[in-house]
Amino acid sequence: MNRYLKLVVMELHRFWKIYAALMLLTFLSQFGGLFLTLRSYLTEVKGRMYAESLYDYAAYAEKHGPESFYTMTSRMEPWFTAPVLLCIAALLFYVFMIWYRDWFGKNPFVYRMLMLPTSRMNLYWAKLTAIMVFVLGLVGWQLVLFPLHMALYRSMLPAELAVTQSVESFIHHHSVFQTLIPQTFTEFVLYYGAGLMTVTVLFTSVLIERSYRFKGIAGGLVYAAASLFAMLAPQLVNDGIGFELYPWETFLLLVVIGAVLLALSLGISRYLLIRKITV
Amino acid sequence: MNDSGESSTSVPAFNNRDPVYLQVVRHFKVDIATGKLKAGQTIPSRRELAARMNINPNTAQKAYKEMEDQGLIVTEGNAPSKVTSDERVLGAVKDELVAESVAAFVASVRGIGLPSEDLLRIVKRAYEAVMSGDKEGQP
Amino acid sequence: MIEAVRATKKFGRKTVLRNLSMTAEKGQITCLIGINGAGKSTLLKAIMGLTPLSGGQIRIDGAPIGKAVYEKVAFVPDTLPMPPSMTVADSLQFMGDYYSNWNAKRASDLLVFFRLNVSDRISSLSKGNAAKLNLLHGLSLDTDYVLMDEPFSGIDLFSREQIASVFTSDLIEGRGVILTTHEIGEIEHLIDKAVLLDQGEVRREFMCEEMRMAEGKSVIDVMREVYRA
Repeated sequence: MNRYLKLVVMELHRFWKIYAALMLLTFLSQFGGLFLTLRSYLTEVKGRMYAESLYDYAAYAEKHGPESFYTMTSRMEPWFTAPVLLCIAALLFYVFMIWYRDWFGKNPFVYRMLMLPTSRMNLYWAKLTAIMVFVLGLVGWQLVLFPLHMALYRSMLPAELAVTQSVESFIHHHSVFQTLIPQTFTEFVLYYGAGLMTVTVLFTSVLIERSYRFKGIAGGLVYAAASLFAMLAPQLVNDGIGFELYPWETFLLLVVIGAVLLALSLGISRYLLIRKITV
Repeated sequence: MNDSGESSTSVPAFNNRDPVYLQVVRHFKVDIATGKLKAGQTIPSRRELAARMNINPNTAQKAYKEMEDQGLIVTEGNAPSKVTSDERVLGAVKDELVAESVAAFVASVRGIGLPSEDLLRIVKRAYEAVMSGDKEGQP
Repeated sequence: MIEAVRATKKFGRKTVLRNLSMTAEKGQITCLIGINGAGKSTLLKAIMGLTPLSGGQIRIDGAPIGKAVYEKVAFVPDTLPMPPSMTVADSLQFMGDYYSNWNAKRASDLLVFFRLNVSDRISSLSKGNAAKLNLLHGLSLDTDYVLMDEPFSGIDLFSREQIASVFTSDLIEGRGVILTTHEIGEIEHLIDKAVLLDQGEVRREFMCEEMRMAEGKSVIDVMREVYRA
């Protein structure tokens, strides 16, 4: 196994407890929430059937209509979406901590990391890879959970009250999941490419801070802000100056700016790690 | 990293102002003159010596080089170094140490100004007392 | 040979190393002596490429520092740089995984010599044992040079004696060693060369035996001259 892969495995290993906790939390919150919601829904249905003298579920469904999996999940917010947002927040936080944890503590691991007989960019690639694996892993976990939730939905509800809905159409209608889980490959590349670029910008800010410390805090903030501004620039040009761009022109411009920022971030990070970083 | 406890050479207390390697050489001379080290006896390796005396191997090396130059020890090929069997050299070591001590003694009693016969008588008495005491002390 | 050539290091307005030049030869133990803040640790970090110099340069056997340094020079910092959740065994595995010049045989010999327990966690090690494990990591790499930052500082007497015995052994024989200390005391006989630092500058650089021979002065005598002046 080469050193880059070993470093990736190590980075994964260092976060696995928190990561597993995030996965478990997502499962418990969504699955448990759904279970309780379905139960109270059934109680409600039975109550109404009694009150309205409906004799079976078919009659109830006729009058009030069935409830889809989607409406069920929207009945139980925030239990369904909150853990997802929490996972996103945790990973965003870890984008910083994956670097800072090496400097913290009474035995800073960064001494050893920077003294490994391998290119320091391998440390960088390993951390970047780890973050991407964490993100995709959680998305994958969510994709595993959906069929499970749907199975719970079908098994708890009488057939008359259930609506068959595919996972795809559910994701497509959900405000958060439709971004996290794009429908087309192109969208996937664009969204996750933008995410990757964002992570490299944040990594660069951290490395600027780690290299220049006090002055670096300002430097890091300026770099992150400048990157954000660059990404907003096409929109600002459209709105502010009134110089109308065709949508595809704006889009192309964004892709080019994103690619430039990615390359710039990698270049600056490489320079800092090899020449300027300090323990 | 050497734990071997038994040794023919004890650990000397070095002073910090004289070159350490010369102190090591002198330590060996004392051991040879007092019979702790016998003619032809194998001496510890340079590395063992460094460990035992808490000095750095370079210093041990330098001390051995000096002792070889003075003919105190001989090293043949890869065999461990041995104390020389050359009686002339061994005798010279004793003479040298005695001369050194006598010089120090003379320097310290010089100011008292006793006639030499009186001084010698006192020295003789003290020396004999110590020597006979040593003998009675032995089982 | 490790050379610092007019090394300068500034942290903001504070100058930690000032035009500092010194050398340390292979096969010798060179001791950087100075009070805390004299620049000893910073110099070691600069040699290891762990902090950039503001001016001047470091050369190792004539070459500037790069990643090849880490297979040639081992550094034992004053803390044990391993994650607290690792066990002693994990840490050895880690070293063996990444360093092609890791000497597993020597590592296990040292483990016995230092009486370290492989199943102990890094976080639970006493200060003395952490220092020993740290030293073990550095000495078990087959490198030409070993740098040690305050190997004797803040640990108990027996650990100190054990660590001192490393310097008289074949573990460092033939290698170049640079160690730092703020008190020379018990290791005066162990070192070949002393470099006296003060406020980021070299005040004196001399071979100890030559100093004793030529001027009849111990390292402490010279320190008195330099620091009291």
